[in-house]
Amino acid sequence: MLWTARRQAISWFLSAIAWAVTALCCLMIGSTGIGFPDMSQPEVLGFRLSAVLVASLVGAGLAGSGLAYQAVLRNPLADPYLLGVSGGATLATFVLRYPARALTWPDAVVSGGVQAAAFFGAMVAVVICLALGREKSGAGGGRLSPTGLILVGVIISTMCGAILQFMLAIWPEAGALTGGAMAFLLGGLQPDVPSWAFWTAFAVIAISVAGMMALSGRFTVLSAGPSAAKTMGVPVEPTRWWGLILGSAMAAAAVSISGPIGFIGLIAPHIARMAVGPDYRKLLAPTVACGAILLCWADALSRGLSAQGALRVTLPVGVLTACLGGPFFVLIRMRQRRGQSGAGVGVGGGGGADE
Amino acid sequence: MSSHMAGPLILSAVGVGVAYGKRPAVMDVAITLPAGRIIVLVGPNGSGKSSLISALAGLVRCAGTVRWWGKSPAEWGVRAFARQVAVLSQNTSADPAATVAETLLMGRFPHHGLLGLEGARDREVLRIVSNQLGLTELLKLEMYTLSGGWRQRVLLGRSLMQEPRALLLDEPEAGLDFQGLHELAWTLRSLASDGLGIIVACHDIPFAAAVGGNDAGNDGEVILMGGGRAIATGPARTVLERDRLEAVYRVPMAASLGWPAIDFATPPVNLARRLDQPVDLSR
Repeated sequence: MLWTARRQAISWFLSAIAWAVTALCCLMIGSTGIGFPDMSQPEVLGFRLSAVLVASLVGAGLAGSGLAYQAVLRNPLADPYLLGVSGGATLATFVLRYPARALTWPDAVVSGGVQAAAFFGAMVAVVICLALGREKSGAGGGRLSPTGLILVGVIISTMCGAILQFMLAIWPEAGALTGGAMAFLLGGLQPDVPSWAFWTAFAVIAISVAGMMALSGRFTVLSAGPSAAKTMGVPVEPTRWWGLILGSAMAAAAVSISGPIGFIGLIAPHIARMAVGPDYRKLLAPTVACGAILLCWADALSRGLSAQGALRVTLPVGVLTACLGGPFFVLIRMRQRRGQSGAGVGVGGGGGADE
Repeated sequence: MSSHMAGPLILSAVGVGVAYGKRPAVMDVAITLPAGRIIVLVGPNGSGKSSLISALAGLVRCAGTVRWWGKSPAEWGVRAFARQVAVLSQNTSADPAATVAETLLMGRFPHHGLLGLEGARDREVLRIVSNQLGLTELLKLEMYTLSGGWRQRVLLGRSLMQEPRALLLDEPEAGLDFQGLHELAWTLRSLASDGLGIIVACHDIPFAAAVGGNDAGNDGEVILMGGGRAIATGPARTVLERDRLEAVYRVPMAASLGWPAIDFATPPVNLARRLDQPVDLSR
């Protein structure tokens, strides 16, 4: 019952095992067919291995990001995609990447620049969300409204998508960049991500997850409402800002290599919550693992489908996650409406009177 | 104010004032809380009880000075203050999906290290607090399965889990049945006799009289609030007079209508607590 060091270690260990099993299974699936790849073609295994690693990293980043936003906004529907954060990060990356491609900058500069631009775009989006998602005045003056946030998020996403499409239209050659037009609009995974890009994103996500470990106890107490959390010793405003910064950093790192893949940040924390309850300390490892696992499977599915000749091209994985996530979103919404989990699991904190 | 039994000074607040925009909620209230004393705030809705508690807890900006052991809440810092003073607000919520144990353990946060790991001390405090409040049988239940009164007891327990030296309780009696009320009064008295300083806002006059100390002879004090000011301060017997209450609350009052009422002077017999709802421990 207590969250001891031993239980935390077990939680990470089991999550790692679950991910490793998935990763092994996904290595068996590819556009060349189902089954362990022929060892006479080592490049096939290498290709699949990097596909699995990229999918895992992006999935873990998006899931961790979703968890951070859900904790900070005390809103189970928060997700980097729905908040427009993915869109903002994608747009910023694209804007930087297009001119950056023309110049011959060292990899490290481009890599750092892309991460910085993605982070900048993500933070701009989240700050706009926070500014416009607040109730202006009245009873809930200053309180973040769940519906308001998502409304603003959808608007930001749509606008970023429109600006991207406009730029792709005037610079058709830009679409030929890593991933092509579809990847920037819907999100797609390319196994041929340059290793500098992969490792930069990996470092950002790993550091952010470590930061989340230190914040997760605060997040749990924050679920009691901001002023109650303060009386229990949580510095509320710094916690919120750190949560937003880490969430945005993870979303930005993921999006910088995959484009705006939707719903992983929404689904993974929810699945983890069903298994371990609402305590963020207990949620972190299963959430990150669940994100990695989900995106691995989605990616394997898209590669497998193209192997069966069902499709002429590899389906962007963002299409699959959206197909998966849409119904899931509807399910959450229906459960909320039925009031099954009491006064809305954390939507505005149930009572809502607290700030 | 009988000072012969008073312990070392916990809280000294002078000239406390709170305003929401231009509307004043609390004006020029002074409170002195020594260790081992219970101060009861009574008064009509909107008389400033909750605002005063928020001000003392450092949750709202206020005029005047508030010193806990000589330091303001800001000087203590959020985390250190939470180890000294626990606050139960009216609008405190709990995640409905969290278990009773998880909700209680939240109160251990200010004692935890960076990773929020729990250990033997947390287990021991959980055992003490859940026995004290009769929550032991409920630990594995989710909060949404509890009745309002039991949820209130869990939230009080969460405050006690902080192992505070002082308690600020805003209507802890809300939603409690007779047994809960009776036990709460005795729990607060026992905490005070352990040396805690307690300030409790409430609406129940017999309860206020019981913890604000006349019949049990403990060292309590009642502050009657009206329109943001402290109208009367002193032992329950002198403050809670019928004429004064009628004037402040603007309702006719009768000393006794002959109905049975809780005998707060008699200690609770039922130490093995019963639950007011079916309990499923199979989860």
